[in-house]
Amino acid sequence: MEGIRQTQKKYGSAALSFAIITGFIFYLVGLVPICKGLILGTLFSILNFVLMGETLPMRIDRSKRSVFVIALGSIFFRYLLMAIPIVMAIRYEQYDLFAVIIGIFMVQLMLLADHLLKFFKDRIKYKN
Amino acid sequence: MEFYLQDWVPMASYIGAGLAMGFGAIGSAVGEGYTASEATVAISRNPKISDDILKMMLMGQAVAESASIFGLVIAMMLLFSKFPHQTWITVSVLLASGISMGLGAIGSGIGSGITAGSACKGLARQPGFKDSIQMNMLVGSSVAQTPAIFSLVTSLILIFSDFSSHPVSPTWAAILGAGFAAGFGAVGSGLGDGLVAGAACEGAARQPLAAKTTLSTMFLGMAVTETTAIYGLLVSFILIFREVPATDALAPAMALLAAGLCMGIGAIGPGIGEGFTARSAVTWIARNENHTADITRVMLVGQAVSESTGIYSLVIALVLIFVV
Amino acid sequence: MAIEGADIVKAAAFLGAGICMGLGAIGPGVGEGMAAAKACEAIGKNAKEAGLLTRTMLVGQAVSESTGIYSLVIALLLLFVV
Repeated sequence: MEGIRQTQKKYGSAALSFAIITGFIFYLVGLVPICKGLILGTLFSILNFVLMGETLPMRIDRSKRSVFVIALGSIFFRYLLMAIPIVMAIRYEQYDLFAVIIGIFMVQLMLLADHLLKFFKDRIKYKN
Repeated sequence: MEFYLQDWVPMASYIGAGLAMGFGAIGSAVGEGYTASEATVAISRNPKISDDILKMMLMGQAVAESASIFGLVIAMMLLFSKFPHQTWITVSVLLASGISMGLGAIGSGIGSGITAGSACKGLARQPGFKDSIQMNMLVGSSVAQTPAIFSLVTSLILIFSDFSSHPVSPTWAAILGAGFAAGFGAVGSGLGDGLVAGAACEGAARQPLAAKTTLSTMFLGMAVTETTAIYGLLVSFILIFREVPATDALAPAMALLAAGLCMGIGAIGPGIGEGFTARSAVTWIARNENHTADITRVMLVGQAVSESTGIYSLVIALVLIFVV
Repeated sequence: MAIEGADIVKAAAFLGAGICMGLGAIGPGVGEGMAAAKACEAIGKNAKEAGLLTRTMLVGQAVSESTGIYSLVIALLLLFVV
């Protein structure tokens, strides 16, 4: 579990700081709904990422079928949480819908960005 | 039995949302089942690095589940958005976006799960090359999400377009057909992409020195595998944006619906088959790097032949749209 | 909205053509992919015979393709003859 916690801390804090910085830029420009939506979506994205790890150790040494049931239950439980920001964005004008959707995928974007950056750094190192 | 529009619009939104959420969750759950069983094998083979394997599982799952979250986003939009001009087209838009997103998420969910499972297995074999396996897994499973993204785009276009000036009679069928084309079309490609990316992860573990060749073959194989999903997207865009003359007859409407079904279902087989081909090519290039040129050539020829049935479907779909 | 007999026949023919070609494309697509996968594997094991293996793969795929062509023919018949 130690490794999972570390990964969650690393990418969660990266996602939140990125969201706050870009949100602040949008706030300065005057696009307040985008700023609010981005941060709201990112908070739920991190919550989802943290909860996602909880059932992982339960899945080792089980049959495929019981893992399927555990995973389905875990997904539907997290669906209920993730529905909150989307419904808020659709209902209230003060959150921008597309900013919320991008915020929901912030952790995944950070994961990918981190590895791509590493990949290109290695490439440049190889060449020199 | 009489049909009342005001009953059918909410019913269609519930059905569409259910399809988008349900199928999306099932795809991801099947993929996670596969990941977990491979991870169990990996941990029993190399118990010392169980922490690293769990970490790999978490990252793989985070990417694999994005397809199901796309489904959630569309479902919430279908349930809670307001549609001002309610006609029978609205009913078909609601159903079609649900079908498109739900079916589209299945393939990517399962495919990314396969990728993550292979990465866990590879990590148990070669713990020293954790970084390059992780890299292959994340890039590969992100590319495997693109068919689901195509479906997401189609669903969003359907939800946000204004169809109030279109004639009801053939347009409802065109929209439903667009949903089927984008949805079914993404299943095969998503699954096939996942197979290819999984082979690249195992290849990086088996032959770390060949990682670069493996990665470039993976991209080539995935690009070809994705073509059928792109045909599906193309047909669905034609169906959405083409102006159709109003008609009361059933035949023109059915032709448009059939075009969507034909392209969508026809894209499943080639997508999966090309995925198998590219998986095997990547696996064997990782083992036998000297013959990369031969294997790549056979892979491309084989994929081209496998693609032909997808092209037949495209031709029939275009005939149904433009000629009939 | 009056639906006449000829109209229903036409509509069913179109729908049938679409489903025929769609379902008919699954089998050959997967099968040819598997044949090509095995050919890649065999070349990986024994690259000297690449020419022979490619030829064999193409013959096998051509036979497997025939069911896809049957579907295409039936779909075209349904579209233009019925």
